[in-house]
Amino acid sequence: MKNRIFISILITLLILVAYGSFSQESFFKSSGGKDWTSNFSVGGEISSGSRYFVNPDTFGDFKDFKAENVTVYPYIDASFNLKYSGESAEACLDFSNPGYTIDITEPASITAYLKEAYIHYYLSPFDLLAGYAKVVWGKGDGVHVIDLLNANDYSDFINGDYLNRRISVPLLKLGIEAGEAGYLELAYEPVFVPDRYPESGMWMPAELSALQSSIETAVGNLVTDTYLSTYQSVLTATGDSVQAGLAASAAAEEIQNKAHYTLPDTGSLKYSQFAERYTVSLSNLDLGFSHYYGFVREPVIDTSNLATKGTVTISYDRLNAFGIEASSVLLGFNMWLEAAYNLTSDYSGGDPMVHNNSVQYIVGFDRNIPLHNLYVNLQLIGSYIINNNRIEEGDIQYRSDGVYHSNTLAWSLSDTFLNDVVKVQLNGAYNLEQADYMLRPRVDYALTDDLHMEIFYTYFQGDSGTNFGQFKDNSFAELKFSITF
Amino acid sequence: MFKKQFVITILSILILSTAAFAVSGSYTGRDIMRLVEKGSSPKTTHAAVQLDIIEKNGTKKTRIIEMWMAKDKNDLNRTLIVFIKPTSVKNTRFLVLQNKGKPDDQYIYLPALRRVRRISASSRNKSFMGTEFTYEDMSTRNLDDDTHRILREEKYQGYDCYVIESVPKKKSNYSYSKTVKWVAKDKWVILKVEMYDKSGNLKKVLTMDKLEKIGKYWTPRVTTVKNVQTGRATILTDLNIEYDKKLPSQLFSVQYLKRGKLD
Repeated sequence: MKNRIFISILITLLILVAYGSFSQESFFKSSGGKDWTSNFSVGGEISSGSRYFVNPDTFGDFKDFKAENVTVYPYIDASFNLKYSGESAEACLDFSNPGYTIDITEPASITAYLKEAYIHYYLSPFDLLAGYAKVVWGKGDGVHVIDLLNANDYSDFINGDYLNRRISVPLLKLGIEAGEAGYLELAYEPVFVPDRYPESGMWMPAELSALQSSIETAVGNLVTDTYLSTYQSVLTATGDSVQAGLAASAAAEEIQNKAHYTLPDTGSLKYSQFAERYTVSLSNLDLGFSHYYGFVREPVIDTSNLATKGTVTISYDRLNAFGIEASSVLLGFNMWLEAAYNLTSDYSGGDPMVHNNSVQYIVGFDRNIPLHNLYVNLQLIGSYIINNNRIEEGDIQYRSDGVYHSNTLAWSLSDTFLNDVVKVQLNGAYNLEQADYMLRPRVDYALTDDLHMEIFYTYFQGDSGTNFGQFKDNSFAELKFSITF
Repeated sequence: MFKKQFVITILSILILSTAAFAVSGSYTGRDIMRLVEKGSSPKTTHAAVQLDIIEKNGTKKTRIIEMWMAKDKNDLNRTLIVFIKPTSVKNTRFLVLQNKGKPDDQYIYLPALRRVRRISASSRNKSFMGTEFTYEDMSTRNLDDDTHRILREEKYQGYDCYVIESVPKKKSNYSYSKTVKWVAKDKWVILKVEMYDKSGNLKKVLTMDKLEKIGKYWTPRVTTVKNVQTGRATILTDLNIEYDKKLPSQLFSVQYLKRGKLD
């Protein structure tokens, strides 16, 4: 499907470029005849840098620090886009090759690098977006609880750019002007794109790592048991130890090589999703209401057949998510909130293989402080699992500590110098229940408008079973140069 | 006969004196600013502007913006600014909606987050996109927010001008302790503004050059704001401008701000 969409967008883009070349004279010609605009643009970003992994816990005192305590990962990220923007239509092809290294040993289809590919057509009072796209819903700042249309990419989850952590999905979205200040959006996604997790490496989540270990252990045991039982039965039947050995090896190899995950076919129309959102701007209040009929992104992992068949079954629960969002300015504070009620089929909370209903919310504000160019941004991101008193051991949401709510405080403090050329920031997040946290001091220096140098350090701390604490050996410094064009 | 002639003479002197008083003495500072407001008030404005930010050391950064301004049915101002260049700020969009009796509503669309956010009053005295304009400078100031008085009359750039001092009635809700404006007499156009900080020191000087009549309106094709305290300057050059064209009201909506396209 991705190939077909890519080719369709490319043809559309070429037609629009040809059409655009006959468009009327630009409003932007300067008196010297220079035209500052074009319907067609080529752009992108190249960033290159290195991550230096330093764990302060590996050396006792700063004076004991040696170069051997540092592990370096250089990388190049590149993105490149072709865009057309006319009076009533837009088209975009956006490619990227994110990652720590460019893997030139395994070339892939061009569509593997496609970040977004869409056309957006405007015809009063409607607009229509179609293709592989990223859509952002919600008033939160870089974090949302009602933004459910796109999948998440956790392979580089510490990337500070929200859109870079999102995966585009095939969708059709119709926008309709509703009243003087209202806007209604209707979205349809024909297939479900699951979240992407790293399956190896230092950013592999602890839960996934534990699951893989369980699978390896279970499969190992099953292979051994299969070999022994097959050998014994063939030897008993034939009396030939060589034949028994060959049969046992074959049976064991079959167990070893078969797929250990049974995955749902989320690329079928059975996994379609629908969503609606209405937003309106009143005098001092921006409001929104949304509904998403789709799937809970956190998969259900059924290990009941692991010991006997060596397989784990993955599935996704159906979800109705009802959302509300608002923003306003009160007493000089820019404030916002998002809240979602997530309704699954497990209304009573008693089904161990289905997620319970839950509530998620974000409350935040930002403000400029009248001291130099200080700026503060604070958000509380929370969740609560309903009917958690019915969750027992064996439930997919079971927690040994019995804590079924989570609140994380996320902040950003910044100041700018030299007329916004240098920005100094302290970002962080702290989980109130688990007491794990992440800190990121950062300096951004704009060498030119489009060339930036960033230096930052990311520090994780907390117990090994927590969201941030599981990465506490992955604290790192990064030096990065990026150029946009 | 002599008595009749005397009465006619006295009456003539009185009438002429009254007329002379009306010509030179009947305008107050507020009257002049009211005439400026009425005189330079097209129903709509659409402009392409080159914005040059000049650092103290002479280095220059250029932005290209497109601006639309209009009055709504309640005669309140609506302003939309879209950044076209450079790439780092392309498609950043800024909307100002004037309110009666309370601060303007200001919004900014950030393309990197695909999010519209409001700008609170705490941000008003912050620089707008690195220029010498603040968010407060971009908002509408009501005539009666200030007390206006005529300081003197003088020539500026060859034009006879009234020099008007405007002092905010509520000092706490304005960044400047006062502004002084040079208003061209026959055109009712502001040619120069001096802006004084809270300590009463001159902070910024705004000058309007290359005055040109476009349609009914006198338009400065080049506007310069110089910060005399830091040595930085911002120069706005009109690449193109048109007045009183019909503009759709949806252009000045939060929905347009996010979508960037008119239906």
